[in-house]
Amino acid sequence: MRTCIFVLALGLAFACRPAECLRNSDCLGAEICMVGTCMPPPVETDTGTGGGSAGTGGLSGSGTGGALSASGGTGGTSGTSGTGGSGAGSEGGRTDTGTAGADTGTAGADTGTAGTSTSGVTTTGTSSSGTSSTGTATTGTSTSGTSTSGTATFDPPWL
Amino acid sequence: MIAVPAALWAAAVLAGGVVGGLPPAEKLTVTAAASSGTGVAVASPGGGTLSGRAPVYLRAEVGFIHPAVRWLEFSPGIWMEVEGRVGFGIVPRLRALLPGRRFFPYGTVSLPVVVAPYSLLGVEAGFGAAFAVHRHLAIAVEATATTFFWGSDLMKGSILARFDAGLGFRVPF
Repeated sequence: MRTCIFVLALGLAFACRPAECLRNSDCLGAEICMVGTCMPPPVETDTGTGGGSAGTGGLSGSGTGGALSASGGTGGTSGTSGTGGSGAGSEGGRTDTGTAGADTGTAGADTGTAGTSTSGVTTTGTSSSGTSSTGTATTGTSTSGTSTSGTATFDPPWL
Repeated sequence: MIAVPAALWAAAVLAGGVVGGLPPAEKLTVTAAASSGTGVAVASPGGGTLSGRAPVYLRAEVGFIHPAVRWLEFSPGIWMEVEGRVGFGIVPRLRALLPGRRFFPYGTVSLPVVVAPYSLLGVEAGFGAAFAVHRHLAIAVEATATTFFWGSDLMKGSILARFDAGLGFRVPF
């Protein structure tokens, strides 16, 4: 019996080595126990790329004919939609940092032709308001803030 | 959370005679016990084996003994670690008592569940003895081996084993 106890104690002494921690609650604060050593939890890294949506809101040039009874000029084409913004989304509901794409569309020129007025006065067919300003999107915001292809390497210590 | 339903279950089974052949108890024997102890903890992450002293614990439990099955005691209890970071758990336990006059050896099996601040779930087995020093007081010593196999307190890829020795007292009512 005494020999068994001695062998058991000897085995434990050689088989085990002291550790700073054996479980997470042995560590201070938010540190976790990794292979017997307390260390900070892994930093969250996100390699995902977000897909920001294109900006909208390019000013459309819709000109109207100014002459009496003239056929109005056809409206200008609206600005073409902008290119998609480059987002940097991440998992976990983090804020998407994608920027809205600038609307690079140009306002359509008023191509209306002059109509003939009843008084026979032909006016020019240029609409006074037929040109739009530059088509820079001002309200384009990236709305899709979640990453669809990002892979997070954060592994929470709790289950 | 588990201890309360378990106690109700035990009371219903033992006192109500739900189990066939077990008559309703006219009077359950109720005991209270408290103990404290410490020991060695062992973990094995990544193939190596690490060891350290297990934090000191306090345990308090209430035991129920049916008069027809006097060798078996159901004793749900609470368990606290009071060294380092304080932890709290509940421990439903069955204790098999051997007959005796002043010296009562016993064996135990338990299901310790630590719920705060981290979680742990394990199984425990042990043995001990109670020495009656007075009609209403017994000193108890016991040794237990516990294996925690699940919970947020464990290192990744490791279980945690504890080998504890405790000293306490028991008071019958």
